[in-house]
Amino acid sequence: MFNERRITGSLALLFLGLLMGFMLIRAPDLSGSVPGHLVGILGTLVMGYTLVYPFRKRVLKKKGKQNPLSYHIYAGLTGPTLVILHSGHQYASMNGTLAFLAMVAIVLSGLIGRYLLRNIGRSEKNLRQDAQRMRRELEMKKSQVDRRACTLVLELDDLPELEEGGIAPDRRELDRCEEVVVLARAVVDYEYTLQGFSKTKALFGKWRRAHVYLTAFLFAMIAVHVLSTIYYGLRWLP
Amino acid sequence: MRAFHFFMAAVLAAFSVWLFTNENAAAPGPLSPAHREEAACGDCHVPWKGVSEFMCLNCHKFYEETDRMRPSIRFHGAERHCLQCHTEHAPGREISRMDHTLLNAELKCDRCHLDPHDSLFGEDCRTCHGIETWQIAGFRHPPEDRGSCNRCHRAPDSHGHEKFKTMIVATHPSLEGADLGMDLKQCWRCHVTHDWRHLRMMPQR
Repeated sequence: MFNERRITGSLALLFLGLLMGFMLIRAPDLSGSVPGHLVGILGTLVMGYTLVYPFRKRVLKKKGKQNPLSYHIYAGLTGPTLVILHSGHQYASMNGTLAFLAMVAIVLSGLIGRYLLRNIGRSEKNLRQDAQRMRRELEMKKSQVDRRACTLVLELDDLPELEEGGIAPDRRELDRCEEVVVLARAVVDYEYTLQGFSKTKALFGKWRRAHVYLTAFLFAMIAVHVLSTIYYGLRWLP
Repeated sequence: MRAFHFFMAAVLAAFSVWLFTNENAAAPGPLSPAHREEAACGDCHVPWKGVSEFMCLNCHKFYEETDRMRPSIRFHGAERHCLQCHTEHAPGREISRMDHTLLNAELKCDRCHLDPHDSLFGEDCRTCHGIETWQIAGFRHPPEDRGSCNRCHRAPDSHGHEKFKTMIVATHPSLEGADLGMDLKQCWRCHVTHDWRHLRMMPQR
């Protein structure tokens, strides 16, 4: 009932819904009030939790079930949702707005990356397995056929003349060769597609880097925003 | 790659410092017109402490005796909680947000408010009105068919003008040539109590 996909989908919808909420409602006083600040602090702490995943992955070298990505995603959606509430859709200060935009960019990049990268990863894995199986089969069949006959299969236009002259290879041999050629073409197709996937994967490597850089930018902007808020005074403190 | 990361981190740190030291970047909204031209951030904000009444009173003169203040701000009384009513950086809103609960309890309402009842209910507004809301709790307007509106309400001057009669005839052609020597105490003939602006004799559109 509560699988990762469903929870992530619900949180993403909530985030996007609230993000679009600025078209309907604005609460200019909320961000500077006590409840507004509390929601903002909570949202920031939850966003801070997202750093646990890369820390465990890169520093502690924990992968897979030891370091599930799902908590990173839940926190990466819940924190920003709270921050949208904190903003009250009031985008007046430059540093607050920069932090907000960076946050939105990260969430969107995270959502895109999560689904495209996962689907591409899965498809590539299946394709690679198929390609390997077919290549093994091809190698085996290649060793069983007459190479001269196979050359003829590729130039079938000449075959009637050879048959007329009585020097054409056996028909069954030709059929086997044709199978090999079809298989070889399929393997080529698979490998070509895999090459495309590799290029896309390389592109997603760049995406991941951008996600990391944006995260660094976001937390720098959060630091500036929080420090500025404290420097110029919290309105609700006596 | 490591050098590139160090470079990017340095750029980000420099940008963050610039942003932090740039006063305009932190402003959560434009200043009110009164402060926009003259005030700098440091005039109101004390670093790491924020805004205090003390900073307001550095520029704004405040007298203990209300009579020395100009009439429009006499209601301030002896209170010095400027920030409870005056909020800066609030776009689209006045800098002053009136909160009667903070006023000097001794202050008379008629120093700021005109009496719309023309003293029909006496001089002391607080016998009926509270300071948290102008609405009178539990008050129910008597029904208009009692015909006693003029005990509290008086017709505005405009009702005595010729144009008022002309307008009635224009919207009610059947009254053309009729004697409109109406009694301006019979408010209920046109007005209803649930909404003063709702007129019985308004033409159907």
